[in-house]
Amino acid sequence: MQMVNFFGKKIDVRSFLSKLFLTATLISLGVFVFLPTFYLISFTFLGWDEVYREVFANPLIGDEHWQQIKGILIFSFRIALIAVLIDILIGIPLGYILARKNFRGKGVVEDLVTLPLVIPTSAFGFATLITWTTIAGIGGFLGLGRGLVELNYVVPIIKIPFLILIVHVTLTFPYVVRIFKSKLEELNPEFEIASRSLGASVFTTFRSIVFPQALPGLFSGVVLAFARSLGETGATIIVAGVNTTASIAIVKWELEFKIAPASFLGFLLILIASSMILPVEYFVSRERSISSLPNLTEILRIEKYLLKFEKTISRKLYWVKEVVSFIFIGICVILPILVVLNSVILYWSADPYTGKIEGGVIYQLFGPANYFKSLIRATAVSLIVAAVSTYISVCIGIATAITIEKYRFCRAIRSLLKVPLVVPTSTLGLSMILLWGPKGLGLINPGIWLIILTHIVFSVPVVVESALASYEGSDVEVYEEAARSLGATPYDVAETVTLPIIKRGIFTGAILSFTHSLGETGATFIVMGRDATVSTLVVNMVEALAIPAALFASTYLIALSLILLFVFRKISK
Amino acid sequence: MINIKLIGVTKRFGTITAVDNIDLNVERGEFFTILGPTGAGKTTTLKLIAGLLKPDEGEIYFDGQLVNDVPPEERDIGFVFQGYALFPHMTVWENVTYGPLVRGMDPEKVERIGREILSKVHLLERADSYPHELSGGMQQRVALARALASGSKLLLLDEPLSALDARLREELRFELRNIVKETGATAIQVTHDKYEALQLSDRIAILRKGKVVQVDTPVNLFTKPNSIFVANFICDMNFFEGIVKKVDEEGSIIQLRGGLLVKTLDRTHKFGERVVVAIRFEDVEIKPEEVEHPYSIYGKVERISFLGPFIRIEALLDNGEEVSVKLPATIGYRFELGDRITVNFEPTKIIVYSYPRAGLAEELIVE
Amino acid sequence: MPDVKLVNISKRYGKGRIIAADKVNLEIKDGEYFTILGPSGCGKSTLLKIIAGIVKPDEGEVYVGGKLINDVPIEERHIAMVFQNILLFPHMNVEENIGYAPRVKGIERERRAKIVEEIVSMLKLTLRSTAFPDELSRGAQQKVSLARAIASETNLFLLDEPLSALDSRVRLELRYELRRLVKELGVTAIHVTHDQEEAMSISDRIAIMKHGKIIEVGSPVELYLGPQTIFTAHFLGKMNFMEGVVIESSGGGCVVEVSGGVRIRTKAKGRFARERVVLAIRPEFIKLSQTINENNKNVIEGRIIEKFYTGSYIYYKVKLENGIEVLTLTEAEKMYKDGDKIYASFPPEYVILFKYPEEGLEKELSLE
Repeated sequence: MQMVNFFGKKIDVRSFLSKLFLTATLISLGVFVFLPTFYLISFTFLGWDEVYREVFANPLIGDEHWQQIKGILIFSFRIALIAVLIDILIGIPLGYILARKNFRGKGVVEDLVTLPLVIPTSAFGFATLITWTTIAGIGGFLGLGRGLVELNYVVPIIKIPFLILIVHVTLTFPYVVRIFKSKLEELNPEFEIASRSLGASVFTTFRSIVFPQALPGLFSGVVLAFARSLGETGATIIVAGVNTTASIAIVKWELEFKIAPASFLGFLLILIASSMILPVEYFVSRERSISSLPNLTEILRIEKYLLKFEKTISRKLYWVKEVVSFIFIGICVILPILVVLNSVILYWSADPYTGKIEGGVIYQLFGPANYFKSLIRATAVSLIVAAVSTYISVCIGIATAITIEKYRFCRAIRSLLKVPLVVPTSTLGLSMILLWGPKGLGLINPGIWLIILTHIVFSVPVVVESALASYEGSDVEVYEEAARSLGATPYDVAETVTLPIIKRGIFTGAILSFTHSLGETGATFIVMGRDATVSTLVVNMVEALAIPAALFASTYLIALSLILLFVFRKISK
Repeated sequence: MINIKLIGVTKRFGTITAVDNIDLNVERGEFFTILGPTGAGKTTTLKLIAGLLKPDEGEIYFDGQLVNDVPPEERDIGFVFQGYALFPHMTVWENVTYGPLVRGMDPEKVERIGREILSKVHLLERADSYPHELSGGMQQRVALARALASGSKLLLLDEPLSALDARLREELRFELRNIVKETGATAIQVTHDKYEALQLSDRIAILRKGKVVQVDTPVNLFTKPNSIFVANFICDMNFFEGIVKKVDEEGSIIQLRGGLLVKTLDRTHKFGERVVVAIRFEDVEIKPEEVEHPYSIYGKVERISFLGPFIRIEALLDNGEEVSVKLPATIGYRFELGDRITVNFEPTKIIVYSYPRAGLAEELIVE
Repeated sequence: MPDVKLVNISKRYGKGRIIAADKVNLEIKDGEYFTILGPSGCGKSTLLKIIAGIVKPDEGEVYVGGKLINDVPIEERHIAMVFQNILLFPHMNVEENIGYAPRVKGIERERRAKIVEEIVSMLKLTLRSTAFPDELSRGAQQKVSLARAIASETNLFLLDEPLSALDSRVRLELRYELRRLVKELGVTAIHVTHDQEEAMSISDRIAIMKHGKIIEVGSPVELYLGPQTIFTAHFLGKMNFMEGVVIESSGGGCVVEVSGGVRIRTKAKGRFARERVVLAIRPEFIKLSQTINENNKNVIEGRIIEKFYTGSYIYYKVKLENGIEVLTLTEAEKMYKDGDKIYASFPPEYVILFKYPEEGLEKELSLE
């Protein structure tokens, strides 16, 4: 098809259209995703004089900010590292069980693993708080008359506050489990049969055949978990007590208008996170990097004993991994939810311990504070934000996925899209407000629109990744070729073949970003202005010590996420 | 019916040249086969013709029209994919009528074509099934029906039968050719199976490492393979290294390893030249005892394989080389493991090749 | 000694709807090259997996060397498997792959290297031992996987369509290699395939399987020339089938009338008059000539209607005067043209008779 342009030159309409499509996609990606992500870096550089003055040479407090930043950073990274280590210990057996075993109730276990991803983190943080530190939780069950642990109880040796650790592990282990599991599912189980037929026990097979091949999956899971832990705000803010993590610090400083130290901390977070993550990504993506690793057991000459040991546990202790995994899920995921439900009932009309009606759920919701009204308003804001940001993200995401598959030079975009996923969300929020807000371009004031823009940044990569996974997992290219050979134009092909086949992947991405948007706290806090979302509302309630209202809101959010989980399951089946 | 011409077509993927300066000319209504081992560039060639890939160099003509820049959807082709590529989210009916619909035919006509083509492949009653509910043979027929439904004048078949059971493949081969011939379309098939090529094609092109080695009719290819590679790929052949000992008007005498002499009708090679003597398995004469005869070679039966209509005997000759013989089963029953035998190479059946520069073993690699 | 015995093995899938094995009984002798042959989905792979211990049978017993092994896990069954998907461990190079079985047995590095070297020379593998699987051609990969199986030093080989994923030309070469190795090592081999020519050319005995049932067991020649069922006859190679009725039966054979009143004499015995039968003859046994030859029996006139070139031999489709079409296989030296008048002769000793199947001939001839 050809037509004539203004200058009488013939141009190919089709190639013109595809160029237009490409340009539009790249521009929207740039403006909506990459610009906000990287803006903080350039902001810090451009405003270096001010940042330096505020952080290192403040006329009043000297380098006090720098000292704080140092301490906070080390603290945050320590938490993230330990949390990820525990994630690995739990994630490997759990992922293996879910990928390879068939048992009754497997669907339920899978849902429970997905739940922490779906649940708004502040509600979950609150549930954990109640479970461990109040009489309504474990302490009460055990008849201690107080909470099992103090709010600021610090685990000895690793020196990390217990509650923060538990919250971080629970909120991040699903990434390890899910990605490790899906990598295992990709792996042909016949490899394991081949290995066992050659005489290797189940554990030996896992160590020498399954694990090395699934290692890239484990790494990408770990990277996401690590980033999530660094960026976690909603739950952490509730259980933090006297401690301050990097994300919380950014939120607080921003609210105190200490822009310079906040942005410098954010800048450091992005830099350090990327420099830890990118080399790992590179190492994993390189072909055969795993096989180049030296075989430690051979070098240490312990292989023989190891084999014997593995044979024994394959025979006798195979059940340990199941039991450990299920106990973990029971304590960290199920228990807090049950405790919250139980407490809402207890506190429904009045505080059961003091008998005061002011301490009851009903009074707080409909009494003078009228939290019910704010909850309804926040729900509306949350739903609008989630729906609009998901819709826009899906549009950009589909276009991006197609672009990445069609044009070789766009492959790099895929790696670049990993960055918004690992940038701590509070940092992102800061970046957003500096870019679009009154002090930056001045285009958008804090409020619902800025929340939407912020959520788009981390939603697009999620949609693109799941669309691409679905694209690559179903040989779409072959079907596209078939359609074109049958006379379908590229547009027909996209509409009748590509989209229907990757539909499921797009839905999965959409649901994930929808739930992520509902539960997001860190960035939202910074950019929301007066339009609170439900998850930030919970934090406000806790800070206002309106515990019964927070209980109700948490229950409400948990119910909401269970519904979403149900939808999620229906679609991904 | 159209004629297809490829002139100097080259396609590279990174550093690999998949198709290397190929010339091909496919006549109207011809059933043409591209035959070669995996990685020879067969499928790439087919995709270049379909327009699914663009050549880096060279021209492709349909009926004299340069089509290099014509996208696949405007080339009016039918393509049967390896593994079929039936749309998993559409029923058999939707798959088959997809082509006519996206080409904008009116609904009544689409309906008619759908019925016609599905009844031709005996699948009308399965029209509402989804591809994964069908057996392999049925899926293959749906793929063929889908490719034919738009009435294209060029049919491209990428290993159309390779996903099927061996026995079913044999049966469907005949059916495939009949259906294609009935439509009168020009057909280009890609395969690595020599029987598929020999039985179905009007002409065959042999591809090796991206280059066309020989193009000819099945009979000519089989009786006059122009190189050791083709002979090995398309015929079951024994190859022996030798040196020309004598050349006269009648032919030549070639000495094999161990001093054995073979008489041939070949006169194209000079005295003292290093050559390769080739003879088909089924052309080797074999007797179940030692018979005195000039140019007789003796040996011992090492292995016997039963192939149904044929028996294949592998014998170790006294000069240490192995020879394979293929006999009609009715005659082959006479041989047993360990039997002493006499082998004769009939001069008219022998083909003599110059010794290949890269060595004989290299020429016999089929992967 | 690895003789294998299956007793009343049954296995169902999909809540009992799909029958993969239906009361299967099999005995495989020590040192035998045994093949299970059948169309896709007949349950042959399931049977192999039951022997390997990958799948547990719903009913029945598996004995290896006289010992019941139903509850023995795969790694203790001492089997070597070769797979259709090859399944070389992608993160290990050739040497590590071959040396895997010795390694998990706890054999030291130095001795392992020796074992690997021995097998490599036995298989005449001319490969870099540091090459990774994806750098090799499919054929070479399958050879390495064979080497890996050999290195486990067991004497029961289970081969699950080992050649199906290879190019047809490579397949032919590896086929003979496989049998040579199995015989050289003196092991028992159970091979599963859908390729009848492959099965016949390498096996000592073949079991024909369909819909989860073993239909027939026998040596290749027995099964090819004297099949007991129509399915076996059809599955092992091209066969002409005609419906007919026995009109005369005696000690020396019988006469069958097929469509158009044409009578064909056979040496098949044990039929009674007026019995409805299916008459069968292989294409290579039908003789074609352009003149009537006194020595030929059962001569029917016909015309060549189609030909399929296959190299030294040609398939001709002949339309007989009674309207029936038969396929014949003749040497390519005699070339006939379409439309040529021809006399087809059916040697009585090669004409086989089957009882007419209850569910009709069409159903018996389904290859799927």
